[in-house]
Amino acid sequence: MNRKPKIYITVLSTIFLSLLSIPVYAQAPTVITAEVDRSTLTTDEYLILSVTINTGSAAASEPRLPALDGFDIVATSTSTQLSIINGVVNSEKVFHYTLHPSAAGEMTIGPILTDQNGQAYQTAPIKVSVSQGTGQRQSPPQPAAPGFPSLPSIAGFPSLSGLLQSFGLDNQPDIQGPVEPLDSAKLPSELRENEYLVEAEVDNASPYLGEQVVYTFRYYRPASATGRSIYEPPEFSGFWVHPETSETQFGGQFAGRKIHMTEIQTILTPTILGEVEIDPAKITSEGDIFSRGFTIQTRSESISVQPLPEGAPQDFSGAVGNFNIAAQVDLEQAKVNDAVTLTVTISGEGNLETFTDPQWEVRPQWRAFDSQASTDIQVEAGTIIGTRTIKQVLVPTTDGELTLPSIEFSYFDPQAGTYQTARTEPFSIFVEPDGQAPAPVSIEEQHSQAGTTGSLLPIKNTPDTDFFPSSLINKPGFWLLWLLPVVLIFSHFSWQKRRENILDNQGTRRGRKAAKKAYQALKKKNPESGGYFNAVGHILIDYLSDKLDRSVSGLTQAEISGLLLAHGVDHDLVKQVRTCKTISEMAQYAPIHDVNTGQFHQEIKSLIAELDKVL
Amino acid sequence: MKHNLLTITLIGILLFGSLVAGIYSLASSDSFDAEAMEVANQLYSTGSYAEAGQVYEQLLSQGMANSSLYYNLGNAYYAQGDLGRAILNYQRASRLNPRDPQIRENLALARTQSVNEAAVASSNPIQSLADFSSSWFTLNETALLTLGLWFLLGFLFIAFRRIQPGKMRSFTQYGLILTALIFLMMGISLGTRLYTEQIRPEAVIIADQVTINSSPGDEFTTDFSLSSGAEVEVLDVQGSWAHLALPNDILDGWIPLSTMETVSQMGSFDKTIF
Repeated sequence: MNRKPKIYITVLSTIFLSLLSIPVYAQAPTVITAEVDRSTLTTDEYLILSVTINTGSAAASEPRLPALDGFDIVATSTSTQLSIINGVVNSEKVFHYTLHPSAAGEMTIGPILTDQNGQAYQTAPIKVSVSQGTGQRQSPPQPAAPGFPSLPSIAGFPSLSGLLQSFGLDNQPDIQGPVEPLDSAKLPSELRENEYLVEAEVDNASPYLGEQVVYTFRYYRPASATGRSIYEPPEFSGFWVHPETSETQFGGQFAGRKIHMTEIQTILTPTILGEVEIDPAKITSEGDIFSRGFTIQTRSESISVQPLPEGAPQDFSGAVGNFNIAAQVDLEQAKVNDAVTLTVTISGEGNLETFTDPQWEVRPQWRAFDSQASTDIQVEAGTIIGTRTIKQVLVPTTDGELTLPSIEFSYFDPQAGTYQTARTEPFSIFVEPDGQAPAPVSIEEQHSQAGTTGSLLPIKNTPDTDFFPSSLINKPGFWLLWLLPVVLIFSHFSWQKRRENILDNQGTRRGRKAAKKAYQALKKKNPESGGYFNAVGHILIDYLSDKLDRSVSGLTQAEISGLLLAHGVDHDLVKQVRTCKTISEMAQYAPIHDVNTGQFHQEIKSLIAELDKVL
Repeated sequence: MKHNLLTITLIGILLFGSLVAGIYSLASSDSFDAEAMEVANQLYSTGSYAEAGQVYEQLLSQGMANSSLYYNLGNAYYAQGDLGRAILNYQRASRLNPRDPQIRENLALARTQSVNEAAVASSNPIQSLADFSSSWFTLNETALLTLGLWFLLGFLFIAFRRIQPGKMRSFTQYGLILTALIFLMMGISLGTRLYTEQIRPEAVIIADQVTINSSPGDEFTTDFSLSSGAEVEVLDVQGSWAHLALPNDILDGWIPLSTMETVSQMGSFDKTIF
């Protein structure tokens, strides 16, 4: 083949393929774009940044925002657009960010990035000019409504919206139950620009301490809104909060749209004086399968709580509102020791749940038991109304006409701005002298009741005898008693062992008593009597025999000395023993006149004492 | 021999004399306001059950713990339809006087009225022993019996060591073994009851209905619930939540503390803490 036809074929093929790719390139949409709803704003206003990602048929991943210096993200949401062109489904997801500028100046929102099909894309930077505002921050504009994306209709095909509705997947209203009609004249003007709006207010910005305040929260939204919305009330620090809130649903038309409104009322009672701030209340919408949720909140509310005026009555116990008091007794005639129930009822509107019950005097003729109170309240038109009932059991202790004096109840009326005192009428009860306790039910009656009817057995008329009314195991003395047998056993066996040791060693026993025995013997001997020296010699020998645990009477002086030395007695003592023994032996044969008997007596005693230390 | 017998007798007198003296010194007799009880009884008999209960509660709060008071209070609550508090007070009365037939009858009646399932007897022999002991003896009685056996054990041990071999000594030996066995049983029973009182105190549900949660917190609800009068055991307390178990650990979960009260008022979950 010639070269020229080959070249022509190559060039024509290239041109043809290029022409074919043009529609592809022409049809390929921009992957990511970003725009703002305004380019100039003040620090009081908000900016909505919308980032659109066109993914074709693939799912869109979250765009990566740059560091938004100078802006705070207040809310986020998403919405999705589907389109079908020439049989090709195209998905476009829009990410909305509500931004609030934190300072004035020229701001730049940097490129926003995304990765689609393995490729990176980015937007162009956006310049925004922020000027200083007055400080009166506006309500944030609402991001794009959640709910189903708008679905175009296609000629020749049923609308997808219609198809979804036939499957029940269309927009369902989020309100259940009765709906009151909306008064469009009372709606806030911000609702014209915002589909979603929250607001809060109090009915009294300067209440008295203890005066009721109604906190009203309202949440406006399109009637077509779906998804769950969660109400987060404020903390209400500084207030007592009535546990039940009232919730009312409203619906109607406004600015050509069908809207719903939920109103939640909470009754508060301020408990501290001065400026008290109520934090913003929030609504968090969880969104649905096509859109992300969002959170919006109200402004803070400030309340100035006024102190109650001076001059409160002495019995004032913190009741604020408008009240009446009534009292009654269940018996107008009784006997001594009968029980009479006094019922005091306080009714009206105000802080029934928080004031202290009134106290009243009980005269000496009565014995009073602790009172018990109960409260029955309902909320009407944002006001707590009800009764507080106090019951007290009284027992007359004397007979005659006894009086229960008037009971006073003071309260502060905020409408009148003054303290009021309501009082009951006094009661007279005629008490007869003989009051007897009811006859006790017999044991036979009790058993017959239980056996035949199975009904409850009656009460006991007398207390049981409890020898140990309180718990023994909580007393330390109980646990100390457990040691007693142990101590006794230990002592017993210790004593027994010691006794056995002593009995087994007679010699030791004798030796321990030798000195005492010798002293007693010496005491009996009169130094002036005849045979004194002889007797003392025997006493000394007996002593040495007991101490050495052997008889020494037949031993010689030398043998005795040797024994003593072997037992550790020193030479001086041994010499004294020999001297005493010698004098004693000599006295057997002849009287001794050159030895002072008294001195000798003392010397013998000292000698025994010294020997006792060593032996 | 005579000397030994004399010594043993003296030891016995010393030992048991100390025991009796010690017990008498621990006994206390609180003054009881019988007049107030009559007033409350009168209110009850005229149908003023709430007021009668009020007076009974006041007497109990003044420290006059008495089985009759608890029993009457149980009756007052039963008459008002409050099964939970009725069972609770019958249980307290039973703790102080377990052999009283009236208390047993009314407690059984209240339990039949309760919609909760009756507790199954424990298969654990030690727990069964403790349950048997608690159905016949108060805790104080069990403690005293155990203490008395301990003293007897000590006395027999000393006697056994002192007596010469022979019939007398064999007799003493058998007595010692028997006493040791009974002491062991009573000791286990006492120990188990004390352990249970401290570690797993019994409680009664006093709310009309309470949902059992899987964890402490309102968001952890389950499909299980208990009605007033259900008898449970408390395993733990965290903040305002109590971890409980049904007897024999059939089920366990968490409920608000305010929906139950413990039977014993000596444990750490005293009602005054609530």
